[in-house]
Amino acid sequence: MIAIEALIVQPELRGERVLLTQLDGRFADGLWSSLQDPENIRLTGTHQTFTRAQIDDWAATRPGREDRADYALVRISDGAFLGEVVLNDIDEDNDSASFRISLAGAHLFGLGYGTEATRLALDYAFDVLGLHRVGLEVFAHNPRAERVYEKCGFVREGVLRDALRWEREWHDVVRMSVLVGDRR
Amino acid sequence: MINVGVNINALRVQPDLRGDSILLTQLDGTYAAQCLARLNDPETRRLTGTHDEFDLEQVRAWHRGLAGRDDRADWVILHAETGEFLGDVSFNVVDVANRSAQFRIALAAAAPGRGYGTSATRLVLDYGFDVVGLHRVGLEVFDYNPRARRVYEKCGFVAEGVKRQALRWDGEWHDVVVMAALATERGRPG
Repeated sequence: MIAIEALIVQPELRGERVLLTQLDGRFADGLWSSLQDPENIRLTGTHQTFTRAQIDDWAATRPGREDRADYALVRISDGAFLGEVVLNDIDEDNDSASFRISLAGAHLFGLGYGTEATRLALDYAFDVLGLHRVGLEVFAHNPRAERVYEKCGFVREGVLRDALRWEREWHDVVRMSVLVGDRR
Repeated sequence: MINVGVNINALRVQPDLRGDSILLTQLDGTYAAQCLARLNDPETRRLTGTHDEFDLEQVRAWHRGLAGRDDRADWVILHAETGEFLGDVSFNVVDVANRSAQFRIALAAAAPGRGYGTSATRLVLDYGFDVVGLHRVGLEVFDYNPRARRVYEKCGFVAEGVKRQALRWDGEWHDVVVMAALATERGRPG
């Protein structure tokens, strides 16, 4: 049984340096600028382009949903928007969800924010929501992210061959997951 | 072979696909009762990991909406001579940007073991690669369904990984095998 009420009203998740708080209209500016970052677009394999109005609407409609949890990642010291952290594809029959995180720009890489945010999100997924399994996909050309996920307990489960088309080339996609009983 | 992109029209209007003893034709509202029987069959439910319950109206409404869609393709599998309902087969989740699709097939209770699954899978794969222009077709199969896995392997799918404990069935956790066939690997002996 998944604690749906903790999806509808997402608790704040506080770490040492970062805070995960409900993504909503307050973060539309930050989301919008992170979507303009070419490196971010490449690492998330985002083919779609968005208008500013779509992003405003997206951010404003995140609260209250029972099929996903969207968090804004905020730096505690100065309130800066660092990115977004999402649990989606919530599957109540199988107690599972998919995880994704994107930092708001390459200047934020390598500083430990992703690791801290991923750990907070996993604690929430397993201890609060009661999930059994959290899966993710990461592109083969993003070994740094894969390393972060491994540190947080994710295990490599397979490689989807040629699952991403990017700049006219095929790329593999790595599948990973962490189970509630795994060492984290 | 040079593929420039996905042929959306080939998803929107699907032609009949003919094999030795089967005919694949657009799934629509006329097969709801047969599909419902399949959806309620305990063994088919187990093999497809179907947790949800459906009624006839839900199935009919879903089927009626399938013709003309450009993000998926759904066929009913019929016996070519008798017209017997044998199951249904789909590309769901077509990803145009990555030229990929997910494949699924479900046979009616009496159909497995007669070669219809293999035949239907081959017809749909040929269509996906040659007509739609897909590069990759993926699927998921449960660890307790080795027969289906053998069929997929015969048709060119390769196991790429195992999603641990991704399915709960009858109170137990089961692994889900992820497989895919690539356009660039066509013609390899299966």
